[in-house]
Amino acid sequence: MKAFYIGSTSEYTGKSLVCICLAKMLKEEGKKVGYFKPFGTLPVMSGSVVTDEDALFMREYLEMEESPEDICPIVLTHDLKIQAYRGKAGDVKKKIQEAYKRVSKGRDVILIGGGHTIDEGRTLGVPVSEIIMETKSKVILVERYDEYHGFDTLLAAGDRFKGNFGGVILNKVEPENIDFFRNMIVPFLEREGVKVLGIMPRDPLLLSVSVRDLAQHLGGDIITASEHQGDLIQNFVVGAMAIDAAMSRFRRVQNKAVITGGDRSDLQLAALETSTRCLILTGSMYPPLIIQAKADEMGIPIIVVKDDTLSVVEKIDSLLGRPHIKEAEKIKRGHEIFYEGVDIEKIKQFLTGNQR
Amino acid sequence: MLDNFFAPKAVAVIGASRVPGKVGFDLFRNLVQYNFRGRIYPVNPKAGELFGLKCYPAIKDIPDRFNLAVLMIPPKLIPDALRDCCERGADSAIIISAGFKETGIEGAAIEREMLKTAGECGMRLLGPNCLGIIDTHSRLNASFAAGMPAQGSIGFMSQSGALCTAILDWSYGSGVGFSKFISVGNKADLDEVDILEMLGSDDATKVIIGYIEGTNRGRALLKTGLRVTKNKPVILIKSGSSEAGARAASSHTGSMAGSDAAFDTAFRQAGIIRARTVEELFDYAVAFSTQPLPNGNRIAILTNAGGPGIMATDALQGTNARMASFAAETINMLKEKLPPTAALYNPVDIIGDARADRYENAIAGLLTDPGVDGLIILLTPQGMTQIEETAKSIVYSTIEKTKPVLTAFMGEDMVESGIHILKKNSIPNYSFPERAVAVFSRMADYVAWRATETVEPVKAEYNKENVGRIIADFKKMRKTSIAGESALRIFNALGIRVPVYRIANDIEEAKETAAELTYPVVMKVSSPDISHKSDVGGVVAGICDEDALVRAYNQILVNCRRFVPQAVIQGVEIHQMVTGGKEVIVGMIRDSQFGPMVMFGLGGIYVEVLKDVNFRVAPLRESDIDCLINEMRSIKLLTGARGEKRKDLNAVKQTLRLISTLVMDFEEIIEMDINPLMVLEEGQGVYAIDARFSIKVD
Repeated sequence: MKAFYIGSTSEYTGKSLVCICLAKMLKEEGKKVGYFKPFGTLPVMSGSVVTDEDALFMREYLEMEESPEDICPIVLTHDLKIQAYRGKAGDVKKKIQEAYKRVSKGRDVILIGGGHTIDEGRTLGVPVSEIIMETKSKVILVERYDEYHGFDTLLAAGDRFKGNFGGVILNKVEPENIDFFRNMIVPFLEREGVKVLGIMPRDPLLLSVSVRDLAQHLGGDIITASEHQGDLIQNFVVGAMAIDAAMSRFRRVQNKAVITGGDRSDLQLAALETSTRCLILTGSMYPPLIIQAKADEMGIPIIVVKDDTLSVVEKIDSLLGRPHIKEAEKIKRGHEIFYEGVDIEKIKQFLTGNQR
Repeated sequence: MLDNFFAPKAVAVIGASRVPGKVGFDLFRNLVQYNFRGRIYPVNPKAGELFGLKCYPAIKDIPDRFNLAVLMIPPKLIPDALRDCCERGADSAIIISAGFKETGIEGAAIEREMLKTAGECGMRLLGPNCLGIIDTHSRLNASFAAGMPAQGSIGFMSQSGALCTAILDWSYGSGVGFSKFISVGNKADLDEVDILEMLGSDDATKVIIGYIEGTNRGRALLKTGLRVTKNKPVILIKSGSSEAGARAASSHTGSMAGSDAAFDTAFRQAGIIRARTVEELFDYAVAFSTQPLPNGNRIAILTNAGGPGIMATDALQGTNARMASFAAETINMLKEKLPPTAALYNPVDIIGDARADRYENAIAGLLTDPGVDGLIILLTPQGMTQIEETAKSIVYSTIEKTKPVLTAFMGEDMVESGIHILKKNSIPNYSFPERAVAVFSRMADYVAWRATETVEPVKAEYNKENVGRIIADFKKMRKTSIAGESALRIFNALGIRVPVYRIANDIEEAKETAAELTYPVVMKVSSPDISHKSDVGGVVAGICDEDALVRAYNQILVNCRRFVPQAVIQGVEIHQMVTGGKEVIVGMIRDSQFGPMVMFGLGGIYVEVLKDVNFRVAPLRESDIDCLINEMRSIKLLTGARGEKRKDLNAVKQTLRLISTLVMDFEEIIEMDINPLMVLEEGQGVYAIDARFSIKVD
């Protein structure tokens, strides 16, 4: 049995996507693949149980029969933290070990999903590095590079995992920066002993959010074209400007949701005439009937929300921080990017142990 | 093609009513009482007879075939009714009923279904939600308007039914006659373009006027307009020109008011005269429909008072009309016939005691002068003024209608009887001289427009394949903006010169590159993450030596760290610096109604402030290119101001040809601009210094 730990040194780097892609790749290789997430960082309710969003999704994606509690034994809830501060968190390690045993049974490969950093679990007395050692996982880090943060943390992680460190996948790289990465960054990292398993470009579709999720998150009503609530929104524009300025912006920003007032019928129409996936009308103001008819005809959902524009923007901000790969369209695109950018052979070698 | 809408042999009125006050009653009465020459079949399940005509319980009960159906029944019943009408031979239908897309999603669904049925039956529809149609020649009044306009040669269409009724009412007292009157309603099928096309080929219509709030077929409107206006004048009001007005229009008809500038441009290119008010619309319409077109733009002004004459002259400013200069014979004749105190030169002031005979003599002289293309006659009611006699003299002296004559009898009560005579004899009268001048200048503009030859649009050669490849790469990457290096690659393919440049990853490379390109140079941060480099202090121009280069390098990188800390910086771009040119902007925006509109004007950093830019809908013709350049307010900067040499306008023209061709070839380009395009001295060409393209990725 082989295990991969898919982690990162910062949050929202694309670990879930890499997990999904690896799972698919391994399944196609004929492997029995399972998913395990020791520390649930994305709490979500499943019935009456608090579990982790990634765990829930991967359970379904891999058609795993184990309970969500087995796939993610420790969910980092507020309560658990308080218990840890009081020294009463219980035997976390044992819980993880037992769950892992159940999940790994009868499987060829387990993908262990990491949390927001590679230092998770310390508060609970179980550093993730211990789990990595015990499960003899190969560590694959998914990282985002920017000028400000540099690579220090990544290099430190490489030192820490030593023999277990498989390498890094650089994700969300601007397509026009890829050559620069290949010629400048990759040789540097390899010289420093960090194997680069691939470079995946930034793709706006993967950062998108569905109309359905958006409406739910904003607590709004979809009043037109509800059959299009699976459509994906990649950008947001607040429409509060004069019509000419709006047109110019609406033309440039594509696959967008436009946030405006119910009384701004000019902006609503302008939005409908450009690449718009959804209208968000604030302050519970319904648009003119004729515009509802037009949006419905064009298959563009209108979401009417109670909040004012500022509150809507704040809520959307909090949603955009954590894009999730759930929709089929995003998964398909994710696979394309993964196969184009990642050296699959290098990863396969980890399975056979033939790697350098 | 739409003959059966206007002169059908037989009409069925579905929903004709015997209850006064109902639309079905008013419309049916109109149809019967204005002597429509065809057969009429009222359909109503309850009425036995209407206005002496047998009423049929259902469409299927009509024994004969008919061409036109007028429907005033609940929307849900219309699709089936259309099928029945089709079986009886109808190929045209006017849907008066409301309750369609203007009422929301359900209504829109019925409208779609209705349209689908009509399509299956091969029927054309006018409306729904409209006032109907009036044809004064076939005597068809299939409208619920109050009354029937006088017969005339003005064809009128309107997107607002209510405006139709108001204008009809006004027309009764004005003496203005119409050929056809069409209310287009929701424009589910027939729209302003179809009606324009129809009125364009209608012999009874000499002038087409209309009121529109927007269009869904801007390019078709432009194309049809271009053809029709060469034969007869088209005068349109396009409302929603202000921001608040546009908002009102959007919630009224659900049609995008569209960029007002786009309409202005498209109308101009199509030769459509744009009226700003209903008053202007009729000022123009009356003159065009009653007066001959002038041969040129030279106007003579005849007045019995100095002040109004001067005001009329002032009003010429800013128009293309000019004051006529008279021939010696004319002046001699005037001298002979007029009192010594009269002003013989234009404006001709025959002074306050002028009676009808003095007007008559002056008119005769002025109209025979070959240097006069039109005449404006002003009259103020003074002690000795003969109002009615003067009006009669004007009618008498202009009976041959060789040149347009417009009058301004100024005042109210005293001049009323004179105005009445003028109107009765189809001589347009305006309350004030400025309005008459505005009308003449529009007539002169129209004549000039009609004289221009419509040539094929320009097409320039370039490496289309390479441009296609670059755009395809960006679409694949799902990047909507092409700027920097990639934009410059597009210019290479277009054959538009760009300054030589290279990327330097560090300061040493920057020094070598600058020395190689020779100073002065421009330095820009190299980072795909930064789209507006100047905004973050990522550009330094005019670097003349190595010290300045090092300073610029450090400053740029410090700025970027501060303002865009998370951007990935590859290094800097070192560009050869182009000096001694004038900065212009060439661009394009794709309007949702009219498609690509090419922009040209004064460039550089003050584009937004000075707003000296103009647009033309692509594809451009050579005449459009000339207009774009000549309309620039600061054109003297290019033609040589303050002793400077003339700039290379031929290269500018070629750039405009290329951009016009490019944006027609690649629909994916939503917006683009080259700012600045540096124009060097004549013969030395242009350089695209900076540019950006927005492309549609899906």
